[in-house]
Amino acid sequence: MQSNRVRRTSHALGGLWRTATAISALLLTFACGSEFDSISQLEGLRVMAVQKDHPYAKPGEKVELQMLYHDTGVRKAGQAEGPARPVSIVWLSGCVNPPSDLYALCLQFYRQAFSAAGVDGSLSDLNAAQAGQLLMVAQRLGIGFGQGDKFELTVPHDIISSHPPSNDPKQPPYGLNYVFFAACAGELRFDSKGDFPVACYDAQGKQLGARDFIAGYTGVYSYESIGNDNPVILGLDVAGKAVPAERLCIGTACEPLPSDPKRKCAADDPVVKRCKDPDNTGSCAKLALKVKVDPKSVEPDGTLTLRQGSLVQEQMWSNFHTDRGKFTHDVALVNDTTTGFNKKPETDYLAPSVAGPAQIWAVVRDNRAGVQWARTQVCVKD
Amino acid sequence: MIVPPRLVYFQEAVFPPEAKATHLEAEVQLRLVIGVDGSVTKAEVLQPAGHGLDEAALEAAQHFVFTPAQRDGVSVAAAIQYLYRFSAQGAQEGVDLGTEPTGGNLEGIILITDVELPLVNATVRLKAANGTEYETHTDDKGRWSFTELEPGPYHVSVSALGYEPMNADEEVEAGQATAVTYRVAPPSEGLEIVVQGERPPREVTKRTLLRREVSRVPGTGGDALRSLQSLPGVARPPGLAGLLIVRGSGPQDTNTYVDGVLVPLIYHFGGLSSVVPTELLDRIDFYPGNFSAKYGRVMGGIVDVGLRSPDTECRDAKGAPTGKNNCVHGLAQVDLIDTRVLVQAPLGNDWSMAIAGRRSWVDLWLKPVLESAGAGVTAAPVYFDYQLILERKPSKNSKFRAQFYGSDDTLKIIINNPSAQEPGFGGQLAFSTAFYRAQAIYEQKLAPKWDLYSTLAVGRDVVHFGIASAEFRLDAGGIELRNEIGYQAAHWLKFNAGLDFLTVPVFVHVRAPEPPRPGEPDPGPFTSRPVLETKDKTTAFRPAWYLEAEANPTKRWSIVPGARVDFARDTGHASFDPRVNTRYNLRGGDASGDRRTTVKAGVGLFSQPPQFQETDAVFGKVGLYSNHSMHVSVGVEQEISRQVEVSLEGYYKNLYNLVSRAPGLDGTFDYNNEGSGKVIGAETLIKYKPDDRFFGWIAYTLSRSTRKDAPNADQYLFQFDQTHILTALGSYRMGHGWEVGARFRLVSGNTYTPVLNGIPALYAADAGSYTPLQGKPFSKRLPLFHQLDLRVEKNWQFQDWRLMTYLDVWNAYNNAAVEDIQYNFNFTKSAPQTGLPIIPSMGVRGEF
Repeated sequence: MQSNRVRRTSHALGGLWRTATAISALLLTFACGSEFDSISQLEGLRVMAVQKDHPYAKPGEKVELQMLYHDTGVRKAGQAEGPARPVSIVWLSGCVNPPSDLYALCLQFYRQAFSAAGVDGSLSDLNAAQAGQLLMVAQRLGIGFGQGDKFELTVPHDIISSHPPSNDPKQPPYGLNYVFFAACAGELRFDSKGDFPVACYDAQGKQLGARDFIAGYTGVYSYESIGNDNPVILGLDVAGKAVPAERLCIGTACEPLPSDPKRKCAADDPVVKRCKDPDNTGSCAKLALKVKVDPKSVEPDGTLTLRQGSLVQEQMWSNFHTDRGKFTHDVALVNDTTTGFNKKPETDYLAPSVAGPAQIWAVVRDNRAGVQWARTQVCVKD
Repeated sequence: MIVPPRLVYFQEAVFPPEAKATHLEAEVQLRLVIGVDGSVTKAEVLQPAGHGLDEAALEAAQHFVFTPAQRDGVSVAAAIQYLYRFSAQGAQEGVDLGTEPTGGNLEGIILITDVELPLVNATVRLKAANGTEYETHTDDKGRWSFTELEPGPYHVSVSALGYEPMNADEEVEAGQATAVTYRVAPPSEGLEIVVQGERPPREVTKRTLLRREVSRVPGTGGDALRSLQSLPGVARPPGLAGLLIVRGSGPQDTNTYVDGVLVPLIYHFGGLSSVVPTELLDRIDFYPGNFSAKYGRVMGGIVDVGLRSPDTECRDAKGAPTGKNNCVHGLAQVDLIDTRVLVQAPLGNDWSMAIAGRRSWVDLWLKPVLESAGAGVTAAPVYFDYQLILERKPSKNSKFRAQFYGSDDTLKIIINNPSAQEPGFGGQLAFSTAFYRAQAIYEQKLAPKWDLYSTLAVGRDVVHFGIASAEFRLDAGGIELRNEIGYQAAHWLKFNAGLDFLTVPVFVHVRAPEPPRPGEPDPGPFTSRPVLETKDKTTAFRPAWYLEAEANPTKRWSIVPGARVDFARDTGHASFDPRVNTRYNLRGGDASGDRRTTVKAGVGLFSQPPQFQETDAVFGKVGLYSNHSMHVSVGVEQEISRQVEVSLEGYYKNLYNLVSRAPGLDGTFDYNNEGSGKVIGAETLIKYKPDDRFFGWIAYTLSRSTRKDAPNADQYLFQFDQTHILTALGSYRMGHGWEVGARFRLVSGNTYTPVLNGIPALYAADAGSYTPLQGKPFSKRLPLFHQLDLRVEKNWQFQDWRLMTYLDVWNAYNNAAVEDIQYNFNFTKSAPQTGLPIIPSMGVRGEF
């Protein structure tokens, strides 16, 4: 059974035993709740990943960030895809080593900076004076600013030395550079009064919500001697067959795919029958989906290996996304720190009720900010 | 009519030559006990003369012969005082100074347990060591007496229709009257569990719940410890969670003991059932506040569970004691959660034993459920517990007991499809908790005014939780020693002095991202954050000393002042906690038959060392010291009728020096002792005490509990604050072995921290999940909780054994109570998350 519920359990219980028993109680306590659309089902604009070419970057190193996003547009009934919309993307960096590594404390930093620069309006409406002032303030505060689905930053040379030492003496010294981003299927504006310093508006000036506006962050960690590479995806299996290379894109080879109501299935797309009773997904046709990851790309977790004095591998998993239909499981384990490599990181794709092409993404992550993705297309037929 | 003994044969003493040579004249006063045959069975010197005359007189008196004393024409033993004279002419026949009382009196009063009313027309039987039996009945004041009894041991048995039989052993001494007070209880299948709610320490007050009650509270599956959650002052934990939230304090602020020894948990898997089965409980002492100086190291409440002595009493087919004490008893029970067995038997030479064990079979049904949800189950969730008790009672003044008990919960699953919210938490999830204690208890009445209680326990606690790279392991082996000496300084004053030593070598291994605290911004998914790690090996040595006085300046007034000194070597800090509790009976409470009205009050300081993780150099802060609180309570108890009593109590707790985590000027969060809190409340209990048909109570608590993380920080509602807590329950015996019961609860919803509306959650790209922006901590409250639980029980009594089956229906009208708020993946939609639906649970028990 796929659970699409999210619970927040941030409150800390005091005693160690009470914590342990509370965990067990949570395993047994709650039974019933609503089913929401899952994170794997794309509707509107969504960001699925941000890849850094160096997930762990060294001081002074340049890091290139690439965003994976997709916009389904506004679909009409019976339509597989809506018309394409322009997508604006903005990046903000420069929040280095915030207190207690709390990203939330960066937001106040940006708001104050923009307020000081007198910037409070549309990015596209910035006049030359405002833009100049913004750049000046940004430069003074070390804020990086960029637009588009790629962004580049240079890690400060003192990022490690300026990070307060950890209470944990075995914690290898590190620095943390937060990068914030926003993607908007409308017009982006600076907002010095909001909780997030950037907001999204439509042509009529109405602020857009989560369906059309995604704000988020990624952390760029820096260690002196510990690195990390992104996972390596070898391919995808659909219905037990490897997807041909020409029907598969991996990583930066996957260009943004604007939605297109006229898109057609390809002749060699894997085929699945449309679901005639979407309320009864048990009756829907399925396609087995498996992501093939190079086991050699599972690296030792450097910080843990240093602590333990023995090899500890990183945790790795795959998120699945689709613009139509759903999955039996949103996430599949790829590698477990304790039990090792999972040879079957798979899920089932459940067909939607409307025929037409459907895009499927597998986004493989490790627990050290490494990420890689692959995309393919399946065909839903009557 | 009593006829004194008369000397018929005089034996002349041998005059010591030295005394005779000096023509010494003297008198030796003797006390002679004369048996029913007229011989002297005992002789002793009351007033000596010295010069060898005492020994000579004693030797001679051993050979005296008397006519035996007679009572109503029957020969009885008697004692006389005899003056043996020595003159210059030699030893002379002495003078009979008169007959002493030869026998002793045994008298007393019989009260009905709890209600403290006299039991009228109860039969009191006395059996002497030589087999002679006596019988009498209590008068309208519950009084009875036997006079002129032969000195020696007697077995007393009390029986009355509709009440539990009671047995006791007493010693009668010549010339003395022994006064005793016995309490008998309504039928309770032979066992009594005492739950002392808000007990001003040292028996200043107590509420008593019989086993009949705690084993039949609907919705608890007959689990005595889970019935604690139906008492006033105890908040409702979420779902089945076995947390004790007492008078606005956190679960970590209440300690649980077994016979005075600290145990780490009382419930399996956080609440399924308690780790000590009800059948082995002798009593549950529950102190929700203002507890004795005997207890410390916590600011909330105390639960002290007493294991029972092995039951080897022989009973007839109707359950009445036969007087023998060498029978074997056993029990087996099976329900949907677990199965348990218990055997109790005599071992000879004053030794007896009880052995019990329980194993869950949750794994049988939960394993397929987990597997259908996509989890690979390596070790299905299973728990077991075990108890062994060996006891010796060499005399009525001493008792030795050795007991070994423990518990083990284990779960290990492979999560192949992790949650999208915390996708890094996949793979193997291992969870286990285990503890055991080997404990020796020794009780001894050292002298008429001195008594000793001593217990020593060694044990080990292990808890492990691991998933992905996160790891938590605690291994604590400990030694706990309690000694208490009581001294009865006067009939109205007793002192109790004790020591309470706890030595726990602890190994803690934690590897995890730093956990967030209330009030702190959400740090984002665990997955994307670097881990901290601590491997801490230390020994927590926490000695404590206490002194308490139990004073009854008048018959109506009792006051218990005391103080406790605690030291925690791990933090390097000591605390001094003075406490005082008092009660005053405005009327009643004695044999007058008046309805009792009692006012009571208590005030005291309570200290609690920081949690281990709070003082850890990696996850916490070194240098923290104990949390403190002051408890103040004032109350009144009023008997309404023989069966109904009402109690009302107001309480206030001022919490200060709380370990908290507040933002500094730079926004960083750090532990300190600057937290504070206030708890104010009132609780009332209207109780119908068990009779042969019905028991029940209505408990209502009104309270407010708040916290502040720093002096200038905002005050917020405590996480487990519940404004209204109403519990009404009752159970009715219908006859023919049928009993039905119901419990209804109406409780304010728990607090929760809301997600800010209208602001999109942030996408944490490294984890692939969303992080919400949160509002003020615990500033919202879930809807009112209400639930009805039902219980039906049927008993069959056979010649040598009894069969019982029950059906316990949790949430009988299937109320969808809201236990939390759930959100969709990006926190734009929310819906109530409801608790458990209607759950019927059945059990079958056979016992002999």
